[in-house]
Amino acid sequence: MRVDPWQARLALSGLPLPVDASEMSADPLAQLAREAQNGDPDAQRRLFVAVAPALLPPLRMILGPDHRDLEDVLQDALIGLLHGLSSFRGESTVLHFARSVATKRAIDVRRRERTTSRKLEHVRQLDVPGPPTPRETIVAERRRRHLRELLDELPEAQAVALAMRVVLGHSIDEIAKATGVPFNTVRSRLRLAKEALRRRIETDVSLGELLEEKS
Amino acid sequence: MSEGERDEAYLDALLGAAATDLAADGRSRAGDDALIARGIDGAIARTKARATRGASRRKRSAHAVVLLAAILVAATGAFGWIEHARTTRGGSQETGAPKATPRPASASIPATVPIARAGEASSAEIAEPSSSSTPAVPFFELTASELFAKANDTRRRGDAGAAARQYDALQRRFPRSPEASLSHVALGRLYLDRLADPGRALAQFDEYLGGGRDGELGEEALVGRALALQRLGRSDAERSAWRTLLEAFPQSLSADRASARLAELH
Repeated sequence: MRVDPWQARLALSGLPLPVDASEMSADPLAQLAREAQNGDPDAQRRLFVAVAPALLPPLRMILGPDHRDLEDVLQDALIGLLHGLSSFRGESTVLHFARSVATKRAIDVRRRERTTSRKLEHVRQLDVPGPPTPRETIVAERRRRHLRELLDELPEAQAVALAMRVVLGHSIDEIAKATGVPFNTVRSRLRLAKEALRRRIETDVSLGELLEEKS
Repeated sequence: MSEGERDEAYLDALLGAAATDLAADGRSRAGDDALIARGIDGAIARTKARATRGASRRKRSAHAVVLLAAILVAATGAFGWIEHARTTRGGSQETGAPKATPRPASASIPATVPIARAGEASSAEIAEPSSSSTPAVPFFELTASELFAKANDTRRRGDAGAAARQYDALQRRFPRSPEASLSHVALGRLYLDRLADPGRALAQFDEYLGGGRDGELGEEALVGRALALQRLGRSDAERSAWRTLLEAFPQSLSADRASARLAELH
């Protein structure tokens, strides 16, 4: 299996990688997913138990590690998976599909929160000065925050494509299959998302330091 | 490398660095097992509630169909009786009986109004609680699963007070249901974390632990109980609670916390 630079980053972080076609053909969860979709309560529980641990990382990456509604968003993602199985055509593994559902759900939550006062509360909390922090940690936090804000600001389709690329480490082809749009459309969405990132950098001089600080 | 390519490479590198930072946020943490267990229980409860509502809707639809059929049969019978009476009166007319006034055509289908009313009543009764475009099902009609799901939704929206009232309603109306049992832990955490009421939190955790259930949230309830006692300043009881947790769940994700707290209390 070829691992591209995005996936290598996730591998170094100990997170599960997308799978290739040979693994998809022997998806251990495929049968369980069919039984769950047919309404078997035991199969539904076993499916949830199997996939839930793999959904937490993308949820935390998008929402933030200490998001107050993490548990509820996990619930929503599991229920979304169950409903989404009716339209699932086996383009990927069930686990792969479940993580895509969770990623979209997390983006939905962030975008909804953006319009509520809770977002303001969250921002206020961030502004509270804390104890002295190493500069590298501060810069990494700023990079995370800017990427999450970028996901909030982008049109939904671009945000989903970017999150699947950056958070899940999916290839363009995998994103195209998961979202049901042509390869070139995904590529275009990612290009537009990067342009939006460049505009953010151009309007915020402090962002220019973010990469140098990393290296 | 052209300027455009350098620009593209820079953006890719920046996104890649941000992805690495985000990946660090995605790593597992202490307490994840309990969080996942609660998330799965909640999803199962909501799935059951949906299935119950679907079955209820199908049952009510079937009742409406039966009612409609009965009304049609009655209307047909009435129409036949009217025709029979008319025929009979026609025979009587020949014997000099007064001629009956002809009925208007629409009056021969008296079932129209009752059918419409039956349809209206049915759609009102089967309103989907989770849909924002339809009226909510009255509180007293909700099942235990539905009440639990509703309380979880309210909690998710951030209305801790309303969620607490709904969990309380679930526990009063369905005290022996699995959902009520689970709700003791959820409500306990709500009192502890959001409503700053450790006394009530303690009562909820005690209720769960005293329920005689070998519940999957036992560990969570013991941790909550110890934290509630800590907030109440009941050091002796808190010490005992942490010890109980370590004895019952020596591999608990909160074991380090328990040990640290016990050292402080020593």
